[in-house]
Amino acid sequence: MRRNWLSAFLKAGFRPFQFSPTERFCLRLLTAMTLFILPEIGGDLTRQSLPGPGKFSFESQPHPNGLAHIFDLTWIGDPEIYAWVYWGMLGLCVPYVLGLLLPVVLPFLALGHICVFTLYQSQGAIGHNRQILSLVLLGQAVAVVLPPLWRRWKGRAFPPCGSDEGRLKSYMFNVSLQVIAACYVVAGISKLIKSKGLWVWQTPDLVVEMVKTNDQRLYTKQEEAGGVELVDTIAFMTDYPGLTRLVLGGGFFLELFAFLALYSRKWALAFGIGLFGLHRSILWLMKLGFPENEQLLVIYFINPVFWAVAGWAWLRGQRQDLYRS
Amino acid sequence: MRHHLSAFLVTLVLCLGLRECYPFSHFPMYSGISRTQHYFFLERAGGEPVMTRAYLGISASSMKKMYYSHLHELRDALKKDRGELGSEDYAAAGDSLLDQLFSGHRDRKAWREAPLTGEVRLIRVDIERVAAGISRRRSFITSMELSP
Repeated sequence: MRRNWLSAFLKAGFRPFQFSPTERFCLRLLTAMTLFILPEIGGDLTRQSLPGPGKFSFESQPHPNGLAHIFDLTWIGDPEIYAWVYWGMLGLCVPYVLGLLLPVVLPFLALGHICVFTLYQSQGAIGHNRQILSLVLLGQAVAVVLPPLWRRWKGRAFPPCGSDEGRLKSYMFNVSLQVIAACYVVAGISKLIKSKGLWVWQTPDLVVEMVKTNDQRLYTKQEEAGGVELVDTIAFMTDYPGLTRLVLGGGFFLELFAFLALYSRKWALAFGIGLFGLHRSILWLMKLGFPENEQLLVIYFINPVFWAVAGWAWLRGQRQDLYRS
Repeated sequence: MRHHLSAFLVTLVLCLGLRECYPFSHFPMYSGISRTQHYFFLERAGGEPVMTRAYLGISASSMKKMYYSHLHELRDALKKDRGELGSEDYAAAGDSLLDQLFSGHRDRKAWREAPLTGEVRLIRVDIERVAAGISRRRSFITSMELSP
């Protein structure tokens, strides 16, 4: 009986979502915006993602990362050249948003983003909030380049998206969802491996991390350090380790099972809200923001564009099988 | 249909396999939770802390990561295991870090508040969760004399 239920569950889901032309346009527009601005709710509405011209300057790559192991990327760190790269990427976003020349535009956009942040990450301090956007752009570039090449080489349709025109146009967005989900599952697996399966049990010791993070902020920019709130949170975590495991353990399982977001639109919404909440909690506890992650979760997982269109159709009595699309 | 999740699987394998190779990463943030932690900060000879954002355009957290990049480089060069590293090696990694931060040719005019002069010390603070709460212990790593 249970096996039948599981079999039915698996058969019903994990199918590619279909994206309408309006939704595809909005997703491209919002992704392009994420390249440049990351508006903070109740905070800085002009917060930048890609550093503006004049705010990116590196003359060396002392600790090469990624492509910097093979190529010298320091030329991008020249403020004059970087300004051209920045405006070039902004210019490429116009055809990208309009859905024009995607097999040409997207590889350049992805390469530009990857090169800029590879140089940034080659200074010896590797951060982990830029990768997800680079990976989404890389995934989209592969998704628009590979199917036509496959057809030319093999003489048949690329298996993941088939020959259906609608699925082909939706493929780059399905890939984006998969890349985002993979990033979270990887984070969950890393916790599982490093802690030898004891991560949830060890969560009360996160108070040490919180103190460290707060102290570091004190020596970064004095006025940013936490106060009474932090002391209360640490006291709570120390006094109620069981509850701490329950709350933080929930976040861990959200990461580990993030692939379930690919099951259907409803599951994507649920995981999107859950993971967005997880980031907000991390920001509150650790003062550690992942704005690119948050914005991509809102765009692709929570996807207000789809739910607005679905809600409008539902109100007009045209409710079809939108949730499963 | 069975190929539908191929992008998910490829990303998963590449991220876990390549670990830190931008844009791929194994996203190790908070993957290992410990009862002890440490960080680094800078201070002037008089004990006044040097805010890293104002003077260097980086966070103290980034400074720690940069320190460990230098330490790993030194460890590889000396062909030593982690346990074989002595206080002189930690100080040498600190010297390399301060050299990168203060003696580089990078144009920091856009970030720096004012020129930093005199002695700057690199301090390590060890934090531990003990029965009574949280304990902190500081130790001197190295210092550098900055000329005007």
